[in-house]
Order: sequence, then C-alpha cells, then structure tokens
Amino acid sequence: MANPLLEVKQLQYSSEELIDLNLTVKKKEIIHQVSFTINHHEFVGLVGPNGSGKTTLSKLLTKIIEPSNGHILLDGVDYVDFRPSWKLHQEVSLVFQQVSSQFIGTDFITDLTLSLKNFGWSIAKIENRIKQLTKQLHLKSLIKRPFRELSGGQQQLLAIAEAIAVKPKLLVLDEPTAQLDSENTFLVDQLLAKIFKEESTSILLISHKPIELSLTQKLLTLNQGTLTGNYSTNEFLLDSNLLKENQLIIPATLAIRDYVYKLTKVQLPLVDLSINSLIKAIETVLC
Amino acid sequence: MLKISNLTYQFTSHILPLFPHLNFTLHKGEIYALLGVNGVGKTTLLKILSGLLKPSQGKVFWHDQNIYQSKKILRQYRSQIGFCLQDPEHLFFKQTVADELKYHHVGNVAKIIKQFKLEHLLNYSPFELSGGQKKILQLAIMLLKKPEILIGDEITAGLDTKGQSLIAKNLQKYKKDHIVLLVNHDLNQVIQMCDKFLFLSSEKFQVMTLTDILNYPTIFQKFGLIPPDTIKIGQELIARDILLPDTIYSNSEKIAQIIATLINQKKAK
Repeated sequence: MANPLLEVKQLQYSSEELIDLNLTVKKKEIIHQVSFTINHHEFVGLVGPNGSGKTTLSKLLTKIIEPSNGHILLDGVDYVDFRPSWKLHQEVSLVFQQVSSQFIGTDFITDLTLSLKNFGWSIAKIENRIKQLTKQLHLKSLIKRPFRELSGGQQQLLAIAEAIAVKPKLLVLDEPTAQLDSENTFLVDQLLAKIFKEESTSILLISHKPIELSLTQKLLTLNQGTLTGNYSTNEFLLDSNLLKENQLIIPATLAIRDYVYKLTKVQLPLVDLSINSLIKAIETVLC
Repeated sequence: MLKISNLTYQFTSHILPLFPHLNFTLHKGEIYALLGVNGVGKTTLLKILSGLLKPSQGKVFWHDQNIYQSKKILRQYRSQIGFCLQDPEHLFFKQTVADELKYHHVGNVAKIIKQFKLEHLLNYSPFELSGGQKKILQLAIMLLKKPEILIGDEITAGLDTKGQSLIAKNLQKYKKDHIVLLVNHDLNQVIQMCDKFLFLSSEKFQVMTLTDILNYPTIFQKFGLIPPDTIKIGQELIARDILLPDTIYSNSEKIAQIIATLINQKKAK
C-alpha cells in the first residue's frame, strides 16, 4: 500500500509564557501525543469542544508553530527536513476562521499575485493560474472588487481560492464558516465539495457544524489535546451520543428521529442528515 | 424603552439609503434578533442604536429623550450600553482573565465567575483562550457593568453546545430587567433563543413574534434567508399532507410528537 500523504507521530506541543523579567517561563501542554494519518485525496474532519486544541493543531500542521516533540511527515519527508523550508507552505495551505487576517492586498488579484510572486512564480504563470481558478470556481464577478466591499462569505470563497492556487497537497481549513450566515456557509460548502471532486488535494476541515462535516469521509475527535476517536463520517454523524459527547449540535433531523424512537420504539431509517432523508424515512414508515 | 423613529442611514458614496425608514420600539423582558442577509446594514444599525454612529435621518429615543440631542446626553446613553463585538480580542488588554474581570470591578466579580464557569480560566491570559472561551469572557465582562441595553454581534458563533447553552441561560436571566438585542447567523439557534424578530432588507422591515413566523414561514425566503431546519421540515411535511397546514410546529419535539401519534395510529390498525 502506498504511503499516506500526512503522518502525524506522537505530536506534542507546549506553550511557553514569560512570567516576569527574571525570564521565568510557565509551560502548558496543549497537545499530548497526537498521532493520525491522512491519505492522498482524502477529506477528513476534525471536531472537538472549545479549547480542545484544534486551532493549535492546525497551526502545527501548517508549520506556523513547531512541535515540542514528535514528528509530522508529508509524503514521507519530515517537516524539519523540508528543503527549501518555505516549500512546505506551498504543499500545505491554511484557511483561517477570521478571513480578514488572511489578506495583505486590497483585492483578490493583487493579493494572490503578491503571494505567488513570493513562491517565485512568473507573471505569465500567475495570470494563467488566476484565469484558470476564476473560471473553475466561478469567481469572475468577485476578483477585481476590493475585499472591503465583499461579504464575509465572498471573502472566504476568495481565501479558499487563494489557498488552493498553489496546488497544495493538503488544504487545512480552521472553522471556515463559523462567522458566516447560512447563505454564505452554503456557498463555501459547495465550493469545498467542488474542489475535492475536481482536485487531487486532501482536505482537513475543522468544524462545529454537522451538515458541513457530512462533506468529509472520516472524522477525528480531539478533546483536551488528546485524540479520542477516529470514525467513518456517516457512522459518527448519525449517532446522537457521539455528537453530544463531542459538543456538537444535534441537527433537527436527528432530534426528530430520536424523539420518535423514544415515543414509539420505531426507528426512522435516516441515511444522512438531510431533510430529504428524514421526509423519505417518515413516508416509508407511515405508508 | 428604546424607541426608533423614522430612522435610516445613507453612506455618502451611495445613492440610496441602506434600509427603509425604520419605526419600532424595544422593551425590556424580550430578547430581540436582528435578521437579514450579509451586507444589509445590521452592524450599521447596531452602531446607531448603541450611540456610536449618528443616523442620516430619524431619531433614537431612550426613555423619551433623543440620544443625539447633546453630547452629554449621548455620553450618558453610551455608558448604559454593553456592546459585545464579533471579535472579542479588541476588548482585552490585561495579563490574566482574573485581572481583566477585576478591572471592571463595578459588579460582583465572584458571582459572574460562577455564573459563567470561569473558575479554571482565571490565571490564563485572555489572549491564549480559545475562540469560544473568549466570547464567554467578553459577555461576562459586559454583564458585570449591568448595561440597560445589551447588544451582541454574533456572540455564540463558533461556540460548542455547552458554551451556547451557558450564554443562552445567562441571557434569559438578564433579559428580565434589560433590553437584549442580538445579531446571530444561526437561525436554528435564533428561534430557540429569541422572543421578537426584526427582519431587515434594503426595501423592507418587519417585526415578528415566533407565532407570526410559524404562521407565515415564507418570511425567511422573502428576506433572502434560508429558513431554520424545523421550519423547513414543517413546510415539507405539510406539503405532503402528513402535517396539518393550520397547526404550529415550533420545534423538533412537536413535530416528533405528531409523527409518533401517526405511527401509533397505524400500529393500532
């Protein structure tokens, strides 16, 4: 069997805080002995309560911070052995929760040109890639407008487009829709589904939203800095107890299935979390 | 009582005002939700109501006094507002959570710590808290000074279920003697948590109660919004003649109870 794309081995991270001018340091371990793998072209979700270390883990995976112990390997190469080391940021790309912290330029074209130039791309190659991206992701109407005129959702679509512009092997998204309304969340989720279908990249999606997590193939659960589980997405999302344990909202469709079961001992046969699935299940049971 | 009269706002660069002329009154004892698509001017309206931005037209009356009448009145009015920002970090500047709370020592710090379950976080820096913990701390700080009007911009976004119910519980208590106004994108949460709903678009404005919404569920689509799941499920089941059109289905339990009754009837046959 081929090597996994990403291998995380016994990863540990402690934050250090300077207490006083004698350089006394307070250490706090945030990530404890975390190990997992992500395969080539795999869509993985990461869930966990607030403060469980999800954002810290995403920063470790994108080498914004470095682990205190343990190893991360991409295609068999340890992050610390990556040469030139900036190349890693081309292979692993991150999208933040706060979109505004993502951009430097005033609009998409300026911003992306700036960042691709940093990776040594020629102007012709950059123009080509922008053309290709905007066509593929239907972003034509957005790319020349200043970021400040765009909605949070539109900005997030562009942030994701920038993140995949370098054709990363792994795309990490840290709660990309947490600050968005349902209309914009829908747009972003549609885009992610399209990217996964058309590109060979693997995706790690951190999220609190069950509907969004149904895009993924498997789910990792993180609690207090420790990896507590590894599930197939469908098994996880249809299990109310697992959702509750991991502090996720029970979607209305599951809540209705569970109440009906409590009252009648009849299980509505849901295949996924969608409203369609619930309606079909109700029709099946009643007909 | 906060009374809004004939109010609108127009950016100098724009030809048209952001929203139509607004007339409505907010009372204590209710949690209000301001609903509308991104970019419709929700944040602008929050700024006007909190005395940070003067409206282009119209007036805001707090206890029958125009808040923009004089600088002194405006200053007084502002001191009675608690504004929770979308990004709580802008509020923090102390070294620890405990210091941050003590700085706003006007209120009962010990009580707030207990109310918001902050005991285990007191020695952390506010900046090293997780996104959700920051939101909870921000609300705790705001409630310390007991503002007459509490305004929250996305105060539950990104929170886990525990955090959400902690905030909901505290707001339910707080609304009894104060006005609470929220902008919240998660409509499933909004209909569970709020009492009155202010729908806003560039052409329309409508104030509704939960019963109004349940009698007229297409209101969401009318304002460009995706309706909450329970409302969608109710609509679908009515369209298939499984639920009766003139009944109110406000939450999952109610829908489930009717389905359960139908299943039991079928079993009995």
